[in-house]
Amino acid sequence: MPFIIDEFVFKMPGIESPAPLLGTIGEKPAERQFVNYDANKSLGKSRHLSAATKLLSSTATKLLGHKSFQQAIESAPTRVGIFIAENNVNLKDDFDFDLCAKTHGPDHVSPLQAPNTLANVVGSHFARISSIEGPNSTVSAGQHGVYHALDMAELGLQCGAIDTAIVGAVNVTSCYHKILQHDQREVCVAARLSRAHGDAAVTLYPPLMRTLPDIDEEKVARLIALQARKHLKHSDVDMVWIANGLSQLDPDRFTTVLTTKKTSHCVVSGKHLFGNEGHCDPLILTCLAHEMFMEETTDWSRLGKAMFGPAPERTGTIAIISCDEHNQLSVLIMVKA
Amino acid sequence: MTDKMRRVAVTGVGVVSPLGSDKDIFWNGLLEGRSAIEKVTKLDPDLYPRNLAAEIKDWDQLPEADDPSLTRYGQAVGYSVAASRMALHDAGLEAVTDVHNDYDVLIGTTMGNQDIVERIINKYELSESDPVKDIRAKDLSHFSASLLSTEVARRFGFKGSALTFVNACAAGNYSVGTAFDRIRTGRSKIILAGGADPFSRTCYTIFHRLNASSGDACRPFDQERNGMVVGEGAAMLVLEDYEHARKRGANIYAEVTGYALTCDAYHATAPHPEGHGAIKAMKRALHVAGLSPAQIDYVSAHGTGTAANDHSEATALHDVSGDRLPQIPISSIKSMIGHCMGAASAFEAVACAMAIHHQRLPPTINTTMVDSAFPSAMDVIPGKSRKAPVNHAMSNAFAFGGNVSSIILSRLASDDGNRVH
Repeated sequence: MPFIIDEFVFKMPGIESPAPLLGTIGEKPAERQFVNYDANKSLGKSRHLSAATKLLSSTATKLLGHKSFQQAIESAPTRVGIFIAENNVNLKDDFDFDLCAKTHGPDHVSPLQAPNTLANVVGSHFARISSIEGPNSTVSAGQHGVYHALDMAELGLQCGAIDTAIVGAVNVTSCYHKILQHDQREVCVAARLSRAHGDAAVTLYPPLMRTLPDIDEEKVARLIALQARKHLKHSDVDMVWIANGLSQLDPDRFTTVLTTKKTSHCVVSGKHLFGNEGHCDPLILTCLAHEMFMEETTDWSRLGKAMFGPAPERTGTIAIISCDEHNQLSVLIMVKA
Repeated sequence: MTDKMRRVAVTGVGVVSPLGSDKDIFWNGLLEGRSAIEKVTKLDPDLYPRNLAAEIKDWDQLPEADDPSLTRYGQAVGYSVAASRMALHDAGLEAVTDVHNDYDVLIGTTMGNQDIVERIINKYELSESDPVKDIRAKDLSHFSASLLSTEVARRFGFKGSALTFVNACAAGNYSVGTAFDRIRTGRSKIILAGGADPFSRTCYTIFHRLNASSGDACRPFDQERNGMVVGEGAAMLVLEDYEHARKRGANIYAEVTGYALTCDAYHATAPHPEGHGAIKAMKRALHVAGLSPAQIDYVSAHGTGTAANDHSEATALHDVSGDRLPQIPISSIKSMIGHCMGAASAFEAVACAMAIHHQRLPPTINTTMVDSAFPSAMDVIPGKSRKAPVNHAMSNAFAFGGNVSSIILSRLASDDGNRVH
């Protein structure tokens, strides 16, 4: 069942909604880490909360600004679901907690720090401050967590469990993340989704997630074509955006393969836009594509050096993809009406 | 919409359990009311005044214990792989020959690979004044909880998606419920779903510091209950499109017929005192299954044995079932295997499937006097198992953060919808 983005918000060090995504995501901020995750004090007393909890809650709270959405929560709090994609968000909290327990003994650990060792407390805290009582799900799937969160949201909408979904992704960094070379910019992005209606300007389809024997440009192109045929009734898309996977895919070769197969002529690399790859990127790119689709006339050349192949004359369909070293591949199709 | 949806069958189960790592040993242990709870051995018991645990004791006898390729992972991956192997064997799916299959792996966990953090702290002798030292990336690179599911998918040739739920103590139910949704909407034919959590110092310390652990016994719903006991292990179920299972002649334990997730939106570690989220989850799961509360023959309670949880759950059950509550048999297998965190509700789903299959209910041990402060009397099955007709079983699981889930498993109906005793 197709679904739509009603609104999205984001927050990065020095930049946040309502600034447009395009033009800001490529900037190289002086700081990759927030000095204060909740500078606007939207969370009240938050000293004991984890970095990820503060970042997600202070960002997603921006979605509550719409009066109609607030009314929807008040009238049917279980009809709104929260679906969060995480990857190692509590790594530092886990080290801190266990180091304290080992060093000082179990009686010296603060019980207030206990929830921070659990990844689901991030989305649960946002549910509490927003009084959202529907499904509250936190998923860990590496670079594919966003696709799973979107899939869970769509399942909830399709099966009638919810009418609105909030899908979020959060990335925090620390001395331990740096060891893992996950020293990306801290970021949070959250989107409010609902079922597609007849006059929707941009629609999304349930993503495809697969495990392949191995990843190469040919196999990825074939699955994009399959997914396009399933939802669009033709096997090509105007653009393919790579959220994650430049270790597996060479953008030039990938563009050639897609062009040969007539699947697409244009590839956009998220890494070339952001400077690195992270597990939030599929949602950032989805929101960016939505932002550009919603413009009256879109100048795709603004994607600059991130674009491989010629910009299509008209762009109405985009496939956002991720692949990783575990041979997982995800594909999300977006369509402009 | 429900009418058009596919049916979802349970065709295999596998456990790495504190009672033993074999589904029959596990099930017979439950029926006999055998306790796997003893003094903790994986930590210094003298550091903890209440030092009980339900630990896995037979890991060394499983082939995965000697598999060198598993050593770089956390123990949760080892437990997941072992329980998955057993579940697939039980389902007659040892060799997945269809290389283009769409089979998924969904695994829930609370602590994930936290033992890797503890391993690193010990290995590098980290301290609060020197918390990083020169940790090598390869020692930390297998921390992500996502590896529980991706590694199972890789080893058993599952070509669909791999997802780990990190929804703490409700995560097993999240996996089973999401698998139910994915199969009934036609997204997948077979899903390995369950939960895994190994023992960890962090987890044990959390419940110690929250004053939630018991020093003598886990007594769910008892007037004298004084806390839970930390357990560990993994439980996996093979959930399968009913038609697919029937065509290949699979043994079917039960069907999954209902499921719901809600959130208390109340507190980080405490359940809503009146069980608001639980009430909504149970009602919604009943709605999805097309059942009335009166049709539930058995409740597998979350039943941790803590004052707060059991009162909240009893209140919620009374709200949902009303005056019929005293007639519904209820048990908490946590009284025997402890609270196995992300694996807990997966174990309970296995127990429900077995209860339906064998028409026999596991007991709640240690509970002698149900708390009179509850809003209603409850039939908490004491001591030993009970033979009973079971068409529909509901299993509850609640987690920190207020994450609440209920699933319903039902006796296999014939194609005309009858469930014959």
